Amino acid sequence: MASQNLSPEEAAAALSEVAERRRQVAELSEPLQRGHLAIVIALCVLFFARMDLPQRPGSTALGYLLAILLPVVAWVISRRRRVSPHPSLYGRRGWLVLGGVAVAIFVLGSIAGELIHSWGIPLPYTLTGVVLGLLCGAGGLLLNRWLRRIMVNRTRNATP
Amino acid sequence: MTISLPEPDPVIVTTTRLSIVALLAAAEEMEFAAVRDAVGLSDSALSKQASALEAAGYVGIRKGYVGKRPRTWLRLTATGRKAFQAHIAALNAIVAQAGASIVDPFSPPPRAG
Repeated sequence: MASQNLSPEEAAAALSEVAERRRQVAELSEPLQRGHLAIVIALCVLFFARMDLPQRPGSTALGYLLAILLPVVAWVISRRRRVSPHPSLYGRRGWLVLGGVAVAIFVLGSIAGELIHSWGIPLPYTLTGVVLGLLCGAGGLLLNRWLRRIMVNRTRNATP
Repeated sequence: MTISLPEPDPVIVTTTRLSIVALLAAAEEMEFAAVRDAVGLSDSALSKQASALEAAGYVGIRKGYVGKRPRTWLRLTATGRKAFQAHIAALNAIVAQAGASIVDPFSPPPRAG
């Protein structure tokens, strides 16, 4: 016996519609905005560059200020998005990839920083910031593409 | 003995409202124009639906600016998400009760091989 309001066929059609809309959001989404990546690169450079400045009381405060600025700016940029995908679209694999890339960038950036410093190159921390920023930028673009593919695959062809 | 099925939500049972809510359920937030283009409605038609969903407590509306241009964003409230999940459950119950396969819009497709 069908519900008073909907027949089984209508209910099935409604569920297919829901699956289609979910897929649509996955295809419209840009997980990481380019504005985010540009800000991350700029702040990476500034955060490390201040360490090449002569030691002054203000430089530590500047570091903390930049550390606070990064998430605030990222939040502001997020609020201007056309489509913000729901975190559930990424799935466990998506979140593991996000975490893995973040760790990889940090490790590679630290290694680069140590090498530059050991070679006695001028402005070692500024260069470290540039290297880390470029890694974030390149990694972010690849990550964006990967995450979008994960989202679309998760939503495509919902089980009929 | 008659087993009563969970009832579909009367607020979002129509195709247009279900489409809007299903889009917002897959997003944290969506710009008004993006929802309008995705669903294929006019500004006024979407505005009317959004207002009704907001009045029901299912949708939140935020206004802001991108540069100097005013923009509007829609999001599903916690109440709206709960109602949507309950509605999906009701739809699945109707389909299952009729002996058909359950359509789960949230499951990834089964792996091949």
